[in-house]
Amino acid sequence: MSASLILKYAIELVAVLLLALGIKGLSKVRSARGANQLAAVAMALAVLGLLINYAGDGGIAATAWIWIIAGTLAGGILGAITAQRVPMTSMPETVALFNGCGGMSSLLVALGVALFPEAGGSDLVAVVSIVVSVFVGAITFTGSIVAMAKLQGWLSTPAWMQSRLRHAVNIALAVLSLVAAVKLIASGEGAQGLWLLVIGSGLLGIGVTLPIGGADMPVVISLLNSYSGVAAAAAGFVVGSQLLIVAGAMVGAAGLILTQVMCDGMNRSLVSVLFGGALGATSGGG
Amino acid sequence: MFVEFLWVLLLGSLLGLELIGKVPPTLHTPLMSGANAISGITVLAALTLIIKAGDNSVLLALGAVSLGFALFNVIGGFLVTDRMLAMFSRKPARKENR
Repeated sequence: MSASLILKYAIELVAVLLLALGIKGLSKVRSARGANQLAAVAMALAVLGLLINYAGDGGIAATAWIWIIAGTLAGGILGAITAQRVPMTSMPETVALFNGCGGMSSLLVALGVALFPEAGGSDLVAVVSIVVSVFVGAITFTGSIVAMAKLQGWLSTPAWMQSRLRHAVNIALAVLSLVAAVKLIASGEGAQGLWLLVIGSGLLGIGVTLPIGGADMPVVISLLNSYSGVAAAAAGFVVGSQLLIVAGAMVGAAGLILTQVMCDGMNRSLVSVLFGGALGATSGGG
Repeated sequence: MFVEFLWVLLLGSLLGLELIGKVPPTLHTPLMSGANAISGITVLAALTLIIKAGDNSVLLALGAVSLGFALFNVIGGFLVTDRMLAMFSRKPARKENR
């Protein structure tokens, strides 16, 4: 075990601990702000650990550094500006936007490894994790963008989407994604199945989110947030990063609990939020 | 290797299930936002993709775009959470001063 590897493991352990403490602290008013900063430090540590490991293990090419810096500057600056400018009244949609981008990131990593297996692997585990990452990542992205657009008032639900027909459409999309997934896993590779999966799951994200009313949107965003954790964990399997798996699983599970807590707070069940539509309108009234 | 990863997944999920119990309603949105920022940890996957890409310029570009999206999530997420939390941590402090 090289020194840089040991250092990486040590940093990763500290990062996981801080992330867990961060999520825990965020659920109490007094500790919330500090916990958020703690989680941010943990994230920086995780990135540092990864860079140290690769720098010690064969080095990082100059071209790679250029792309890393370009991506960092673009994403970081845009994120900082968005976070500063957005009005306090539109927080849920901002979270939805950020969340969608997280899902997109996992999706792109999985696409990259699927198109060029030399960057990850092409065994069964790699293909299955690519499929999960693409599927969940695409749903997270399109679902979050639809949630944001609906909260902003840019989108209204078309009438046919509120009829029972939407269940048939969504089931068809789910079946399409499933077929594409099976095709991908069975054949090992094949760009056709890959794009079919991207399109199918992307449309499924839209179809599932679009009929849901504005009042229920925060719950949906919380659920999509949980999904983006799952997508991150799947991406962790794709690139072989244990830290990514832990953090993704933690966010996925904690997000699920938070979704349940938010449902309870609104006196709604998760099922009625997700599939209710007209049913929810008769019982909830508005 | 794969079995180790499954254990990591299982234990991470269990930890996540236990981390939050009762959450006061005012903290729902900030907690969601904070957890969302943490889910941007896919920066690690994007960075790995770029580093392992070698001379493959398509992969480099894909990785960089992915890194951009992930960092947009992370930086924006943590800053926006801080803004939300700063808003209601200020009020009690002012009362104490008076």
